[in-house]
Amino acid sequence: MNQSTLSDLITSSKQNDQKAFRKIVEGYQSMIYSLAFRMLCNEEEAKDTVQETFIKVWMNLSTYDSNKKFSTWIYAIATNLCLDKLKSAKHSFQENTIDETILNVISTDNVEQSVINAELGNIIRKLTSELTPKQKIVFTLRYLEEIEIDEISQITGMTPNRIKSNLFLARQTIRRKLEIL
Amino acid sequence: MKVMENEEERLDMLLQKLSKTAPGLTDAQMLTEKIMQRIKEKAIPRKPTILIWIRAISCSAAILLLGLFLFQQNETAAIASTPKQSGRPEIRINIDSECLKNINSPASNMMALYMCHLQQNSIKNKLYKTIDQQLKN
Repeated sequence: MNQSTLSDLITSSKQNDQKAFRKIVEGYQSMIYSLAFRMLCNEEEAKDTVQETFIKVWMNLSTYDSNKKFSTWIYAIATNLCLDKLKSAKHSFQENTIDETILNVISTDNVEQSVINAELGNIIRKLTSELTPKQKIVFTLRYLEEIEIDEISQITGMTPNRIKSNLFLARQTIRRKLEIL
Repeated sequence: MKVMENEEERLDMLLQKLSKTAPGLTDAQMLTEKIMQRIKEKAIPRKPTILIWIRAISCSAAILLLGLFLFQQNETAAIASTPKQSGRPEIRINIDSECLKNINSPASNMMALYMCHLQQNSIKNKLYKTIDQQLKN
């Protein structure tokens, strides 16, 4: 989606044009799903987060500053939602059981992708289970989503130095895990 | 040291592979529909800009009216106190109108009181002007 098209869609969406907003959803939902899945390691939670993110986007579109990158703004909303979920007591780091994987496979036509997601979720969960929610957020943004530190700073509101120290600690923890394997 | 370097390399390799393997949405179309449905169902209350403007204008108007009222009150008081300060003879004016009776009546409403007040003010002003003319003459 190029910048001028996106600007037009945002302007129309601000005027309650749901068709325009649908195009924004279609353009960005995979990106947000990828981020949420890598952070939460659970398909259902990731999908819920995508929904909540776009509802927040729709509600707060009038506050969006067009001088900033739209993807950064939408990432910030999704990251905050993921952080809330990671901090909540309900969130668990339990592995996907075979039953859950089977249920996912039944409910989808794309079996291959569903199996890949389940395995990927298990690997990321195993590696990052000992990270704090903030470490997990910066780790995912930097190493899995490959976002630059300056942009992570804009997304999370953390200073670059704090991001670097969180990344350092996250790497150490994960390396220790790898040594055991 | 070499073991550590190897571990770092392994970690980098793993992270690179993980970043290249993006989780995919198995039912993107359905998710879009759900999002749009939730937006339609909720009829999400956008912060209505028009309402904000109406509120702001009403507030300003109320403040302006209050200010005008207070200003008018002060002016009346100033006029009443002027003869004393300037050494002119004190003139007391009694206005016995129907309006004043209404003021004391418990049934009278705020609007009637205010209208009465304006009426009184205009009578007072006329009287002051007449007296002022007379004094000048």
